[in-house]
Amino acid sequence: MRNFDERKAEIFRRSEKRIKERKRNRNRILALCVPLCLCIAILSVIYLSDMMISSDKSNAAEDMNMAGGVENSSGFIYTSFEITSTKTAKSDTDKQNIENIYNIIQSAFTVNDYSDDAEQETTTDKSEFPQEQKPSTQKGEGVLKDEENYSTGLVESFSKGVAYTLTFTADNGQKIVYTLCDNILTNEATKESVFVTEDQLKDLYTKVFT
Amino acid sequence: MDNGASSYRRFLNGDESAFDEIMKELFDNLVFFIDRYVHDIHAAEDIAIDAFSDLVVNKHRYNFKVTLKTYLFMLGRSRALNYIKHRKVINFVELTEADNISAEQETLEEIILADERKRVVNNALNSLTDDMRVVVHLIYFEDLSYDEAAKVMKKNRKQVDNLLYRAKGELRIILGKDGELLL
Repeated sequence: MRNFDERKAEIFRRSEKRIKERKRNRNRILALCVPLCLCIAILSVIYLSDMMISSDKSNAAEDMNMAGGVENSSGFIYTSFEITSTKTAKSDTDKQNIENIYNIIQSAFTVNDYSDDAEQETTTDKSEFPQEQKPSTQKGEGVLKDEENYSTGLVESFSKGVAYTLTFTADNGQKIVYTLCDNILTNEATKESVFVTEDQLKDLYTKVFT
Repeated sequence: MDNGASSYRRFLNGDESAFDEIMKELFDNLVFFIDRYVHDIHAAEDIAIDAFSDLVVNKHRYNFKVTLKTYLFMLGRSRALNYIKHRKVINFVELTEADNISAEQETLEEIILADERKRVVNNALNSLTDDMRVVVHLIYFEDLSYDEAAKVMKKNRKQVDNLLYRAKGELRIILGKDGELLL
């Protein structure tokens, strides 16, 4: 058996060894946990940001769908078109023709953004349009009908003062409705309005009624 | 007598000589107590050294609610039981060494059991069960109270009472009527 001093020395030697081991274990745990926590934090930030981006995209897609029934990647979705007014009603199921009509409307919204400022040749005051659209005030707009033909809406353009409702319907029941009255084309879902030029109106009329 | 609590307090405050006092007062007793479990004096010394190093490493674990002796004996007992659980191989000792081991044990007994009466009882204890032997050791040899012995053995006071009663009955049989008077 050990003597007193040997026992005391052994007690303190073992104590120091245990204290060192405890410190080493603590450092190991820290060395493991800190990077682990950092990784978890970074991954969660990435995941959350991806979620937010994808939710923004899906919201944007919904908005675009509401605004103009923007085609999905697989193509044009509307399979039926109908135009109605107090004087006329016509429907069409030719997908190509429907797509053409739709494209004309979309180009009107894209190019002739009604809400833009003075750069566009439009005004925000709708009441001015009928005056501007009188054939005699147009500049180089192409052939316009005389007032008589213009007012009947039966020959080459839409009738003045008559509201036309243009409805596009997809197979899944999705619909997009526009109204056209005196060169003002309005998306009924978003209430966005644009001024349609005579050329566009002519194209539209041609596609719809011929 | 606070069985080392005041010395330990001084040690916690930085007085290293206080630790010497604790060792002188309690070390041999602890070894003797642990030997009741492990029946190996060297292992008992080793375990006692570990128990004392616990006092140094985990300085603030002792809350002074029991005496330092009780706390040390609790540490020693749990370490001894751990040792017994993990001891898988019985150490075989050369006959030439066996004499030395028993001699060391006898020396320790002489130190602890200066009283002849205690030596007689000690010899009779080997025939008792472990718990009875330990409770007699704590109450009779270490002068712990029933409550302190109960804390060391992790039993309640009633159980310690019962153990002691049964141990006395057994010792009565072993030591005879005269032996009973030794307790």
